[in-house]
Amino acid sequence: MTDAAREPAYAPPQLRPAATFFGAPVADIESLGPDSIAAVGVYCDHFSAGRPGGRFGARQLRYISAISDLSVPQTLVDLGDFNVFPLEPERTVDTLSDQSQRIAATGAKLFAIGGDYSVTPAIVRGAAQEVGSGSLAVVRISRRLDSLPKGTNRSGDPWRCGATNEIAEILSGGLSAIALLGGHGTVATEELEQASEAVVVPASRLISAPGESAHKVRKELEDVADRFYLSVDADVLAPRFGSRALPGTHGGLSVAHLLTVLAELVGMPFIGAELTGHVPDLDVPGRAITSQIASVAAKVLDCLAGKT
Amino acid sequence: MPLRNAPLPRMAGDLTFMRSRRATLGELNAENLAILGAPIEDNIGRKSGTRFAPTALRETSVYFGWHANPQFSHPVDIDVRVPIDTSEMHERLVDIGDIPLEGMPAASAAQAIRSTIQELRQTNASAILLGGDDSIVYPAVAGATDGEPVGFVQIGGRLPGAMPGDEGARRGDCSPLTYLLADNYVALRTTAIMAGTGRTGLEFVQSFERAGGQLWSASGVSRAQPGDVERMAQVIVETAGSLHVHFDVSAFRPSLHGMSERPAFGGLTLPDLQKTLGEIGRAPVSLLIVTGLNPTLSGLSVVKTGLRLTVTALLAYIYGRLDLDAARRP
Amino acid sequence: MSAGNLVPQKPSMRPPGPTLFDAPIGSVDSLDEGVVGVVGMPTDWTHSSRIGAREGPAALRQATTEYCRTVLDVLGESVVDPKDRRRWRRVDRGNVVDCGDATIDPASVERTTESIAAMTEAVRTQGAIPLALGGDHYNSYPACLGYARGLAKRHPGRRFGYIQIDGHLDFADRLGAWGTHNHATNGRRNSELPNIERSNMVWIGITGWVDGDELALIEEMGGKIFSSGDIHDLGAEEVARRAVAHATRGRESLYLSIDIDAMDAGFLPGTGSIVPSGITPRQYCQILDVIAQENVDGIDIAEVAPSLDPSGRTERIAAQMLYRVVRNCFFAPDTEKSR
Repeated sequence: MTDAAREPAYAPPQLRPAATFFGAPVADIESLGPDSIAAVGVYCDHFSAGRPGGRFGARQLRYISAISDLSVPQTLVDLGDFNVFPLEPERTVDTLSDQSQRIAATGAKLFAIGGDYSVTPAIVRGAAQEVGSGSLAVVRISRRLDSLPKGTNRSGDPWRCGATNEIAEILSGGLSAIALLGGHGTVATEELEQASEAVVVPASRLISAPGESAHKVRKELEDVADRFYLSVDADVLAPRFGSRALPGTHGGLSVAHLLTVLAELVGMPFIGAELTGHVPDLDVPGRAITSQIASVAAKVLDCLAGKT
Repeated sequence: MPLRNAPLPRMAGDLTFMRSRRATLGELNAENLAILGAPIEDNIGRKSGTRFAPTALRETSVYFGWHANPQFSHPVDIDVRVPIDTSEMHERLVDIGDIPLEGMPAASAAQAIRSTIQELRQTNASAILLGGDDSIVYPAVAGATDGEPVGFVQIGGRLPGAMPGDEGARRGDCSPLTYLLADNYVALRTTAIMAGTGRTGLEFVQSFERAGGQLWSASGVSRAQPGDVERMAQVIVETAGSLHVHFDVSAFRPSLHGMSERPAFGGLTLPDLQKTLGEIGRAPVSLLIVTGLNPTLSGLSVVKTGLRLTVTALLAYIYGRLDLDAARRP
Repeated sequence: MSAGNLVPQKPSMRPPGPTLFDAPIGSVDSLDEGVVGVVGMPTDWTHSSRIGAREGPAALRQATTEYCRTVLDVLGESVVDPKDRRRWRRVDRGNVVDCGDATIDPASVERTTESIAAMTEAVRTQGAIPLALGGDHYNSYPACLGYARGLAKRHPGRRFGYIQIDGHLDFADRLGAWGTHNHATNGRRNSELPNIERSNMVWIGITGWVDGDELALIEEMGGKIFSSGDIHDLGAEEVARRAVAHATRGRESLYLSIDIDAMDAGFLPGTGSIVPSGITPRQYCQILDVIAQENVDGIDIAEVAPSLDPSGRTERIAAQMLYRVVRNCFFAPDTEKSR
């Protein structure tokens, strides 16, 4: 207790609302416009077979925002969470698509945070329904290709390993409108063959030349589409940089590599983005891994804002 | 049409205290009970973590957001089979957020707390200030005064080792109450300490009580008859004109949880604290300051035992403050 | 009594590791009457808040095996209960058989439910006693569903009583976004089983606030609730006696669902939905001791979440609780030598 603390007070600071993404104001859909970037949490990790915890990704990022000094676009608002129904997969998928579409219809850019790879096709579908699938391409940054057709899925689980194919079915350009960046680890031959029409850049190439590789992907995709969706899965990171939902493999990107890749994509006309796959420690906000994921989230926001 | 058209899973979405609605300071009025966080701590030792308590308490409290969840009919206290009417809670209980204190030097943080509470006082709303450690108590109470000493009740927390002006105080006694007394923000005759922790000298006890202060031991609190605490609180309000309460979670018996920043022997059970805070809540308390909860201790994941205990105890205060437990009164 | 067929019959058998109470491994299809057949339910996908109970079956197996090897095995052939000075003699541990885990489908509650129910049904059909290890407390419903089906096959026309020891009623029809089949609805779903006697349903240990409509429904159907306050006021044994009297009225079969969260969280923090009930381990065990004397022919234990308690005491206390329920599988009253 210092003497200074016992002196008369001065003008009070602006109170900070409890836990929003990067301190952004809380809003609902009525207040969105073409300049808005709407961050929405996804409390959903129930439809993969991985380790649960991605459902807490959004909350943890809200918490760390309180002590983060990352700079984010002024037009960012926190729209709360999507409706999800953890034990009803079809209903959840339909709702995610519907609510993503409604956000896209306002002209705002959607940033979905949290959950795992099983939510990506639903959100892309919603965005595509609004902007038209003909002119949309997807940049997907993930350790996995997820291009195994459902029929050959050994586990029999309809929600696993087919996310890329589901996205391809949504886009007029099919797999050729999808870039898969960051794949590493053992991949089934048929999965690699299935993905051959997509733009595939393995993690090793992103590590050796992140900026150059990302630039090349950008050029290829800009030939096939004029609007883009960015899907970032935290499992692309090497184990020491991220905690994962699926059993980890060695290898992967560092946060610095990923940020360089994302920086190279800034300026592409993204209509939406997501950040999935982060399985956070639940205790103390400010843990190292969530801090790093927050940096990734801030760079994704730069991509959405078109900020250089 | 709002984005969402169905309830969210319990741990999802906007984690305001008890899922209450958000509000700004400017929107408050005398009917409101406002929740405000002060995520700061003085302690830079190995057990730091009380600054996370506002967040952790909000997270835990969503379990009790009955009034904000349309799927529940109405709550009933199973022990007394009395229904609890929460119909006014949505309008009156609000979460106004946190004072942004991260990274501030201690002196600036204290000034920020003080001036925020001064502004809060202008609205006539009652408030619960979620700390942090007890370094927030002095600036909060200082901000709540209008030049005259205010009524003050301390539950748990450190016993002052000395009276203001004594040799011990000059040596650097760290209890916030010592400084509040020294600077005349509170007066001895309108101050009560209930279940204080640590040791103090006989001289202090004699001086304190001689000057009109009330000292309740933990066993005394436990043995109190229904209405005793409420009467004490009402007398302090009538004499001082206002009442401010500091509840430190060290008031709990440490065997119940491991989350107190300064665990001590003795202490109160949950029923004791529910009774005490419930009765205090029935008095017109201006500010309840909650300190000393370190959610980073003792276990993993969210909603740990100590958090649940603290929120359960706070609920008794909230229902008392909002007059929701009238059916239960003798 | 024999252990049944030791060769695994079903693909859902776990690989070798600790079994419950160090029991032999067996098949759900080859159990003798009266044997306790253990079925694991390693899932917490239906829990709405703190997850971790999926590790419960493994933790219980580890903790009970540890209990056997460090406590039970070092006792002699004859033991004395200091409470009442009764003597007990050791019996063959073949009375407990571990049948492995049910196959869990995280994407389908329906498939998971039927997978668990199929195993407990198979156990009960043979006259054995299913003991299902959770998992979150939703899984009490599939466990009881299979038990009910098996009971109907084994004893057509027989209805069963039900005791749920729990900090929560779990009697909601639905829980918001979680729908109708989750850890807040298992009691309600159990009440809808065709051969349960609804008026014989009893809850012990309920704490805090409950939903008024749920309470009214239970009272209307004739069920009974003993709160944690009742346990402190009347005593644990008296509450258990009254509960048993109500649950077994006119019924020969009794299903027991144990949710460890009825115990005060200070003792058992490793569970999903902690409550400050004040119920001590001693009180909980007193309740179980009384119930264990009845004809309990179906059991589940749920919400052991070891990852939420780094001290490890949760699964160890839960192991001792389970022992109280199945104590007769290890020791039988020595009627010749009891005083």
